[in-house]
Amino acid sequence: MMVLIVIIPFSGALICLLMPKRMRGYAGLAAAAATCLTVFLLAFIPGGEDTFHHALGGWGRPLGIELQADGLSIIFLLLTSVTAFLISIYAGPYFDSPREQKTADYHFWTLWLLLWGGLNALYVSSDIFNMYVLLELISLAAVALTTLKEEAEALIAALRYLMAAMLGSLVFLLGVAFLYAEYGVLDLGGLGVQVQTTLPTITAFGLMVFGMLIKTALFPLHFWLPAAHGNAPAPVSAILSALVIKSSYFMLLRIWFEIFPSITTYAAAQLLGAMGAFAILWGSFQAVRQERLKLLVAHSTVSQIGYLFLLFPLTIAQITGEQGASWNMQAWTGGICQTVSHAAAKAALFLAVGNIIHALGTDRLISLRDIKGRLPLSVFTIGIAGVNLMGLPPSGGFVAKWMLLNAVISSGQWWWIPIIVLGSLLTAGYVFLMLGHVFAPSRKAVVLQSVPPALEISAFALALCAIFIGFTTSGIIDLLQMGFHTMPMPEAITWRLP
Amino acid sequence: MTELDSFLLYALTAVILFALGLSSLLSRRHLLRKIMGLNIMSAGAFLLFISVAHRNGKVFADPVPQAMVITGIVVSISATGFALALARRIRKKTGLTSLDYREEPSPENHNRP
Amino acid sequence: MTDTLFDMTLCAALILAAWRVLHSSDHFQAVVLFITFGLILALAWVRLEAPDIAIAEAAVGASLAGVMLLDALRVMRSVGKEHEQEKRWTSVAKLPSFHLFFSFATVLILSVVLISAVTELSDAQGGLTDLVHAELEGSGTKHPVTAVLLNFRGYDTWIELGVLLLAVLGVLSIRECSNLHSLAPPVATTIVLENLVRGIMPLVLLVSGYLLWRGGFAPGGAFQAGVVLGAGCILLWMAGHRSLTMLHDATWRILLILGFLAFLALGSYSLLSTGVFLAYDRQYASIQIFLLESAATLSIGTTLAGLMLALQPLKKDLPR
Repeated sequence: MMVLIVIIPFSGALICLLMPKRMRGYAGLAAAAATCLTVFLLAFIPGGEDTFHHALGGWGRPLGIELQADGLSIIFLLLTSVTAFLISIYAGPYFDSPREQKTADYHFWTLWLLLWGGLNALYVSSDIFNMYVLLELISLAAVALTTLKEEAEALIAALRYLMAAMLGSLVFLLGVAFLYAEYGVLDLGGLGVQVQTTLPTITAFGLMVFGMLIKTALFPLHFWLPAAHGNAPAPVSAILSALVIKSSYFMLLRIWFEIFPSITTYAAAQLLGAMGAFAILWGSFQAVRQERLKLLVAHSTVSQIGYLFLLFPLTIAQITGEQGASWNMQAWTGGICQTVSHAAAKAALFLAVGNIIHALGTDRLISLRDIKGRLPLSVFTIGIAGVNLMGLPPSGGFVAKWMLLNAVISSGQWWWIPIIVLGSLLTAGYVFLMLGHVFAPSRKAVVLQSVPPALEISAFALALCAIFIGFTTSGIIDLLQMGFHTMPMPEAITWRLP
Repeated sequence: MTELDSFLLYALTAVILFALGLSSLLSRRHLLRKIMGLNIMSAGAFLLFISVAHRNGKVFADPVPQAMVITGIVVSISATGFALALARRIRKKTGLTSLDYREEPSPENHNRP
Repeated sequence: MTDTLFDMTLCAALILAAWRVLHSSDHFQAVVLFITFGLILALAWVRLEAPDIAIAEAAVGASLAGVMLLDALRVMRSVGKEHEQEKRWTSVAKLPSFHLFFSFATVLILSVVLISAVTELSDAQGGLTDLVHAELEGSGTKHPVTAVLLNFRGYDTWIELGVLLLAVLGVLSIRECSNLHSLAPPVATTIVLENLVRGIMPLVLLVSGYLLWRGGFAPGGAFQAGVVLGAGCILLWMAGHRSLTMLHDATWRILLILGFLAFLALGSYSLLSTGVFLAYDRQYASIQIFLLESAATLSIGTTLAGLMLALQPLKKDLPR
């Protein structure tokens, strides 16, 4: 039953709140495993007609709220479950170890399970006000998780994050107000068929897209991200960069392709793509300049997000009505592959970096040379994650960029080619910067804190997932083919493979 | 006719409030002004919803936007309470009342883990 | 005609108050004007036939937010406090003028766009009013807003209770305490306030219960009752009473999650019995709704009071 993917993490959160501190880790891990299992059951066990559709309270739209899962939902749900589960395995021993005791662990599991439940609920929601409330839930939980490290930089970054998130939500809410004023309905399907090109509708479109752009930290609205992701405890950084960012991107996809396909224009798509291009270049440029490891990885997130926005200009043909354009499917596969593989690789990277910082006791890039051949698994994880981010075979990142390049060439928008290539080069820049420091000689003899094996193994597993994505492309295409058929769509959007 | 005028009046007030709140958020440095700006922005959004509810109403005013606004008020106070707690903590820890700061380079900072 | 004049005055007052909140130089003045803004807004809600929201706004938007802001202002203004770290942070004096120009331009363009969009909004079509009207009979309550909040769109209400819970948990983690027992005892206050609160508290409880009961057929309901309850608990603390800190830790936690838990429990029960999450029994709907609302009232009251109380001085921060 689809609702279980929301009920289980929320119940787990409540249980963790009521339990004594020693038991929380186990309860949390159990809830994480249960949620992950439920998502897999939902995705892979064939069910009846009603498996992917649920009218809450028995009230159908537009009066009530309905849950609907389509191909895109399933992809995001699977990505969230696997990554979240592995991060949960990491989090338990992380917060128990003596060095991290100064990080307050008062309510990590409750906050995290509430966040996860919110993510799951968002991916199957089909009501725009419900999505607003869920976005607020997710943001508030994310900010609360960021404040777990009690240092001043973390708190300042958290407040900036909170205000940026609230700004994004409020702008989105105003867009919802305009849409309701014009059309009187709140559900995605109903809006999709009724939307016309009037000034209030275009205003709503602009507002909602802008709100989501702030939350997804697209250049130049990324000002809040590096400090927030760079100053959080390691598992929280992974959660933020891998999962929370993807949720607002998911909303953007819903807004663009479900509600407003009849009014998006070529120019708007190119604008989003251009901002993505700036993000790719600026993010990697800033990453190379960093002296602190976590900030480097955080700026890398800013850069990698840019690739996600190339999806919009490359799929515009689908919206303007050219049937059967083959590059649509390539662009979609590329974009989704990039989303999934970035989530896994970035989580792996943050976790491995967390291990190294835990062992060395410092965040500075130069201190990496003091590892001197120890911690091989974590360093290897960084290497694999880096391979994925750079887009080298045989990783998911390679498939993503390959598909995107194919789509670019087929659709004739050749101006994205230098951006993609340059982006990969700059990414290689900061990945090799990290690895270079690891292999550089050092005369200091530093005693390393021991890292619990669970931490290293979970990070490595995530990196392997990123590689594995490269081999599951056909599965992704099948899921995408499920398309948005569960929601009525205008005739222009139909899928056809060449 | 007066029905429509009253709607237009409140709706225009709503968007003006939204813009005023936004300008407070963007241009004032002090954290409390920013937080108050966010609250005024949400008041503007809510006002737009309720004027639509009033316009839509026949036997009774449209209850769905009203329910949405009640939810919105609760969400807004939660976020405001949390933001104020953060602002207070930042003030106590660093003495700052705004988020624009310059960190003093000091000899201890370079070698600090 | 007088109606329109009243509306215009109201809107002008709103805009003026908001303008002054933005532009007044004194922070205290800004906060007081913010409270005034909230109260005028409550009047606007009444004018727009939204009494439920008027009650919520007056209690939450004006009072609770105002009290929290005043308390925060006190902290922001305190001079000569010992800061925990050595002073290595200096505020940047002014925002760069590029930043100011850019924000001014953005707001101007946005205002123009929004105003034009509003003037071009299509005419009334009734929205979802008709649907609510049609289904109100069997929904278990006679008040349309309660029906929407608790029945038709109860899922949103459930999530929103989760947001409240998150906020109080977040505040507690920042304060580095896991429950209210780490708070220093409340400061004894003047005899006038003490006796006033002593007289008012029973009224507060009565009003809260009345609002809760009334929500079944008239404006009122769980939120309004909850905020009045929360305000009462805060008032108790300010009068020197130990208020919520009297509660056992486990009791307090259970109260915090009670609303969220009640929705979850009912929803799961209906999922098991009818296969639909959060569906009400046709016969017992009004009883079920009342139970959910009572649980929500207790939660909302405890959580909102907790948001304020958790910010009070801790035992360990008191000077020896």
